[in-house]
Amino acid sequence: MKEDAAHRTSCPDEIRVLAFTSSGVKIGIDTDQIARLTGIEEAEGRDWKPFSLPGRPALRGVSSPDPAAKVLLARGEGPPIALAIDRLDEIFSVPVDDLRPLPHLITSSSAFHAVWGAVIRNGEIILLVDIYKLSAGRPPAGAEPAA
Amino acid sequence: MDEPAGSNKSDRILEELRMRQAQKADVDVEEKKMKVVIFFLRGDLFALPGENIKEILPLATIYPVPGTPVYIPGVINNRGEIDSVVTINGFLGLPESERSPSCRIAVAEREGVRSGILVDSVADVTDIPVTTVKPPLNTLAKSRKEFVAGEFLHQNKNIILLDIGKIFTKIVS
Repeated sequence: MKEDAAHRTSCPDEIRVLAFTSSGVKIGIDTDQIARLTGIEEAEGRDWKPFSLPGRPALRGVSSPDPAAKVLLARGEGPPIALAIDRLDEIFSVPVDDLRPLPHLITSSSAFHAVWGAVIRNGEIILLVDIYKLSAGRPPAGAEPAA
Repeated sequence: MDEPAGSNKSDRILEELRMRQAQKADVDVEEKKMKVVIFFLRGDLFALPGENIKEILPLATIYPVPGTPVYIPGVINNRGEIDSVVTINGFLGLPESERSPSCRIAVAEREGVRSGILVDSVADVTDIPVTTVKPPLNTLAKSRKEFVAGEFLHQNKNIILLDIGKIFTKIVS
């Protein structure tokens, strides 16, 4: 009972979502996970090695980033986590009750667990991504890619 | 002593009516029907039991989900709920289909799983006598046979009845 009560109090009533587009896919990240937005030049200049979303459809590789692309820098200590995006769309608040878990077929068949839910915004589906889970498994900043 | 012509007439009529009703019941049992949704995939006709199909939707925007297999093109906004969409071509040994305005999303539910199924077009929704469904032919490819519940003739065309539960189980396992 105490755990239930603690869980309820730890769950916010709403979250703020930073929505962006990456190769046509609309993605959202909880703004609590984001430190700031910067340009691709700064990210590369500081050797943050920004990465992009894996999986289908083929998303833009960071090997040839669009100079207009932006980079989301995750909040937190340790090696920087920098996610390359095509463009920032908007930031909005959404009640937790309006968040939707992904269908069972998606969660059970996806090898990619960084997408944790979705929200419908103006009729469009925005996939919610956990940037920390997204970065898990990628080479740490500064490491050379495997040959 | 002969009985009058009208003697026991009502009893004979009632007996005849009971026999006719019993025969009709026999016929009804033989004619037990099931609803099927018949659809095209790459020019072949397939069917799913109507009891597994919750609704049939026009082709809507399918939002891809990173990291999902090729047979899951993504998710759709189904009146405020998010449903997955799968293509079953690969399970039937067929290449993927091109999307066109005739495509439909049949929302199916079975084995505790709910998902849209992308089909090339819906040919018919009809009732068929259960007895017309025959076991799948032995010549059917083993990979396809795994997901086939039977076959039946409809308007002189052979139609393969699928077991969507087995396909869903395969996907989530």
